[in-house]
Amino acid sequence: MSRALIAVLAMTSVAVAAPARERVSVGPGVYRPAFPASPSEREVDVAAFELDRRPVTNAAYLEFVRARPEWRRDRVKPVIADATYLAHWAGPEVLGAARPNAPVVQVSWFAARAYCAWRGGRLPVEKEWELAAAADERRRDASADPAFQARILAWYAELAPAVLPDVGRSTNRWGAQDLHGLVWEWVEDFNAALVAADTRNQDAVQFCGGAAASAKDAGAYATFMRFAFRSALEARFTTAMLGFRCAYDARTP
Amino acid sequence: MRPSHILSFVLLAACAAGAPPDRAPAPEARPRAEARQSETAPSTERAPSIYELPVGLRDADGREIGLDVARGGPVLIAMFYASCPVACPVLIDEMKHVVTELEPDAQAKVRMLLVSFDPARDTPAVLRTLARERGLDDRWTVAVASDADARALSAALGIKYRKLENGEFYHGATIVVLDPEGRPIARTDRPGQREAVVAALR
Repeated sequence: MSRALIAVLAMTSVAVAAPARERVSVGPGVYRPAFPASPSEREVDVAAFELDRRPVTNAAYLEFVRARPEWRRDRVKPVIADATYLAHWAGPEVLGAARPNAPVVQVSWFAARAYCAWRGGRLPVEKEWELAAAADERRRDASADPAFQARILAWYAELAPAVLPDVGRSTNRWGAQDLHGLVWEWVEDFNAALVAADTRNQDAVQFCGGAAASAKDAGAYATFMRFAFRSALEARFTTAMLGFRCAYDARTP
Repeated sequence: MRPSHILSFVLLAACAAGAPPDRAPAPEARPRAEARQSETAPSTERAPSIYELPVGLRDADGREIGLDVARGGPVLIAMFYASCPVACPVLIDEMKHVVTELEPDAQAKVRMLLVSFDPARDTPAVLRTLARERGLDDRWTVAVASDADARALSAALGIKYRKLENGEFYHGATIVVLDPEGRPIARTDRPGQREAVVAALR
C-alpha cells in the first residue's frame, strides 16, 4: 500500500471518527416555569452545567450493560425496571434491529441514573433540562415563539416510528442535539412535577382546568405536556419513546 | 393539529393526578401500549419489594441502616422533613390514627418508618428531637436519606416531592403499607382517607 494511500486513509478515518464534542455547556440562565410550583419559583436561577450533546445511544448503553451485567435485561431486578426494559433489543447484549446510533429507549429511571453515574455524571434536573430545551437553533430562549412551540407539539402528536432514527438530527443554540423531535427524556426529579396540586389540596380536575386557563403564553402547552408526562411516570417504567442523556456539574475554572 | 393518542394519554394522566394511572402514558404506538397493559395488570403482578433498592438511611442515632430495618413484619412508610410546619405533623398524626384503628395484635406487629428527604437540615439530632417531641416510641424508626437516595425511594414508592428554591418542600401526604417482604400493598395520598391502609394491616 502506498504511503499516499495510507495518508489518505488516515485522514479519512480521522475525519469520520472526529466526534462532535460529546458535551456542551449550558447556562447559567434563568428558567421561567410555565407553571411555577410556588410564587418564589416564577424565575429559577440555573447554574451552568454540562450536558451530553446527544441522547445516550443503543451502542453506548450496550457498553454499559457489558461493563455492568447486573443491568442486562435478563438480570435486572423488577423493582428497578419493568418487564419491557430493553425489550427492543434482540438479546440481552444484542441490538438486533435497534440502530446503534439511535437513542436507547425502554430504560427505567433507575437504569438511566445508573448509566450516568457510571459515566461520572448524573441525570439533569428538570430545570436544567428545560433551560437547555428552551433554545431553538438561533436563540437561547425561544419558548415564547409560537412557531417553535408548534414544531414541538407537532412532534408530540406523531406516533413513534417502528425503528428510531439516529441521533444528531437537530442542533440548538447551546449545541445540544435532539432535545425535541426524537425521544422524551428522563430527568432526575421527574416525580416533582405537579406536586403543588397535591399539597394545596386542589381537586385534580380543578388543577387541570386552572392549568389550561393560565396557559396563555405559547410556551405553556408543550411544557405542560412534559410536566404531565413526567408526573404520570414511575421510576421502573420503560417505554418505547423515553430515553435520556446525562448532565455533569460544571468544571470549576 | 390533529388529535393524537399521545396528547390524550398525557392529558388524561395529568387530570388523574389525584389518582395516578397504573401505567405511564407511553408516547408510543397503540399495540405496544395495549400489550403492556395486559402483561402488567395489577391483578396479576405483585409490586416488587422496595427492599431491593440500593438505598441507605441514617437513623436518629446516626447509624447507617437499610430500608429493610423492619423486614419480617408490616411497615407503614412515609417521607417527610422535620422543619415542615403543617403537612408533616398531619402525616405523623395520620400514621398514629392508622395504628390506633388496628386490633391490639396488629398494633403490636406494625412498624413505622419515617424517611426525611432533607439531609441538609435533618441531622440525627434533629430527628431525635422530633421523635421525642412527637412521642414516637420504639416501634418507629426516623431516618434520613441522601438527596439521591431520597429521590430513588420516593420514585419507587410513588411519593412526589419538590424542593423549592427557598429550601422548603412541596410534598404529598402519602403513606404506604409494605408487606413483610417490603412490597407495597396499600397506600393513601390524602389525610383522613385511611380505610385501605388500615384494611391492609388487619
